[in-house]
Amino acid sequence: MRFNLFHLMPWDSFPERDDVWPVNNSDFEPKKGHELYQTYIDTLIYGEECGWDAIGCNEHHFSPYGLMNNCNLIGSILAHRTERVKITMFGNLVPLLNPIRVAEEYAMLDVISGGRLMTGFMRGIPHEYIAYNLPPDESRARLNEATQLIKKAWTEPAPFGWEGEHYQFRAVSIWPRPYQQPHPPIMMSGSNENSARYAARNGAMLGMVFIPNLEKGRQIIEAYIDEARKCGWEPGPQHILCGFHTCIAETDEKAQEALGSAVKYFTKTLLGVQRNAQQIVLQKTKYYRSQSNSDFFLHRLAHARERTIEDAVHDGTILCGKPETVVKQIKRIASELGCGWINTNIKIGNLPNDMVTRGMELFRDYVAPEVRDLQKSPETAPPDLGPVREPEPELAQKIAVAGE
Amino acid sequence: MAHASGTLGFERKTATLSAGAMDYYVAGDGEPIVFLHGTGGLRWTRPLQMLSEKFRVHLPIYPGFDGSAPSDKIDSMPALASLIADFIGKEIGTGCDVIGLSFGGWTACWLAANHPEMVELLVLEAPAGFRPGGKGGLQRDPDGMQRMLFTHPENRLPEDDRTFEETLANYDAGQRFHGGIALDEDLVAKLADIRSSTLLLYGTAEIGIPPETVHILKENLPKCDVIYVYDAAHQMQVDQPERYFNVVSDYLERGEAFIVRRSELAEAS
Repeated sequence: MRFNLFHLMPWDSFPERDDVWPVNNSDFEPKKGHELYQTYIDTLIYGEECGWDAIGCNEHHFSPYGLMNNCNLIGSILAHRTERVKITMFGNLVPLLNPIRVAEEYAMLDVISGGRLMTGFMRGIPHEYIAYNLPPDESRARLNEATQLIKKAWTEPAPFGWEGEHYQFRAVSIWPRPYQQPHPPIMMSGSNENSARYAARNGAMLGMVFIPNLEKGRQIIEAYIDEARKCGWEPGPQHILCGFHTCIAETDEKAQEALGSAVKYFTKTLLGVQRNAQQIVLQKTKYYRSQSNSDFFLHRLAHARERTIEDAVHDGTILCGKPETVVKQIKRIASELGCGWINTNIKIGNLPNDMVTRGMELFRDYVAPEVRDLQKSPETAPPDLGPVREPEPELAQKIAVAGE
Repeated sequence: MAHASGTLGFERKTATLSAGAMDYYVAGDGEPIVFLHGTGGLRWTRPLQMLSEKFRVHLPIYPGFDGSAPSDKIDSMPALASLIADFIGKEIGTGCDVIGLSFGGWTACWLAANHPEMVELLVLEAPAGFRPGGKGGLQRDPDGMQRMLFTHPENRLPEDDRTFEETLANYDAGQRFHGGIALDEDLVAKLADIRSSTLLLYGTAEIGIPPETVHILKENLPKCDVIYVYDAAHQMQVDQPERYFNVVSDYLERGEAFIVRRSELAEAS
């Protein structure tokens, strides 16, 4: 089993109040922000010493939910200050950005890190589209096109131009080209069966940052494997990443108590302020092609704060407890999901930073040695499948219905 | 003559050339351009009509295609290129911009290599003749042909009413010129001599012409800009008419400067 260290870089002292997105930034204190960045970056870098295989960045906008609006900026620091770990990207939110810029910055990171970059081609959560004033309905089409364009920018041996629906460039030739050839591994989000199938068609790793429950997670993984086989390739555990809130302490009680408080802040205060914006996007646009996916997302949004830590432990959707407990939870996940990567979100909401660090040390000393050999798999990227012809919308709709 | 019931305002004419008569269509005013059709024959597409609103567009029909009589004298790609050079000399009177699709692109390369005075700007759409190892190639079954040619067959015009059998007959007519070779090594050896600035278009969903074609041409042509047309297969004029027209008309108007984006302000003035 391989582990990725995930960190949202949350603002950890936002007042509890009814607010709407985008969040009024008068509560941001620059000096405190500076200190948070120092602490959070140091935490991620400490992950290398504590035995994580990868440390990860992400991208969110206009909210105390996460202070990493450009994951490549943080990634470049991590690449420079580490030697062994992979640098994983749970951004870039490709449809929101200039794809040539994404290709360039990823190539830079790959070269700076000496080929340790695992790129993310993410669509983002719905309300991010308001931030950059792009129609959420276009998110899928933009992701399709940008993905092909970025791969082309990485792999084409000579200058080229691009005439597309959303992007037009007459002369492209990026410097540097990526360190890994033909290009760094790509990870795509798999929040539902449709997106998992999309990842498989694109020869991408499946990244599920959070899973609602093991049963749903398994369905998504099965869809991914099924679609990959239809495309002529066989995913291994090394291509599947599943994410969990993670809190490790000396006792189960201590971990559950700390995580319970942190999750409450996370779901009520941090997630709360963007809930209304997400609802507007989902209700007023075709962000999800299938109504059931949209309904599922809205339902999860509405009920996130109702779930207790005990519920989550029971469902297998968090790693929480003393090291022995967490080892058992990881073994259950490995057995039921067959994933080869676990994404540990170790800074949930306002979980105290010293507790985060202590948990990382417990992971290093007592957890990792017990689970390292689970789901052993070679370190191979998915195959490069070339340009993808996406199914016609009607067919995609049929797939969506059949898959759910 | 088997062709579409409508011709989008193009007028049919006959040119009297040294090797015999050759039919062609022509429409529009402005600078002359010649479009060389693919091995499936001449397809009526929106971009041809759009181009004819800016340029005087000539569409020769090669001997043996679309029901026309074959010519004993024209039995190779260089001979076909010479026929087109003769056509340009007699009907236009001066060198002009040339667009070639697939087999027509192959012909256009021979034309530019052997008759450089006849070609100013050269536009190649997924040109045939540069398929190392026989990669890609024509599909001779209806479903395969459809998949190879189009991502958006629904964009075909009513005037583009060519049947599967007519297309196959044209494929066979093309054999007379190229003998079925996939990689024209004689032509590859001549690419470095082509003086014309060249725009090479290739659909991101292309499967009939392999990606290696792009690399061969880019490596060997002295001045070659490559544009990938997103979500287009072999018949990119059908799949993405606006994208095709935007790039081609801009290139024909501005040449190599087309890489510089024009501001809307400048266009308005």
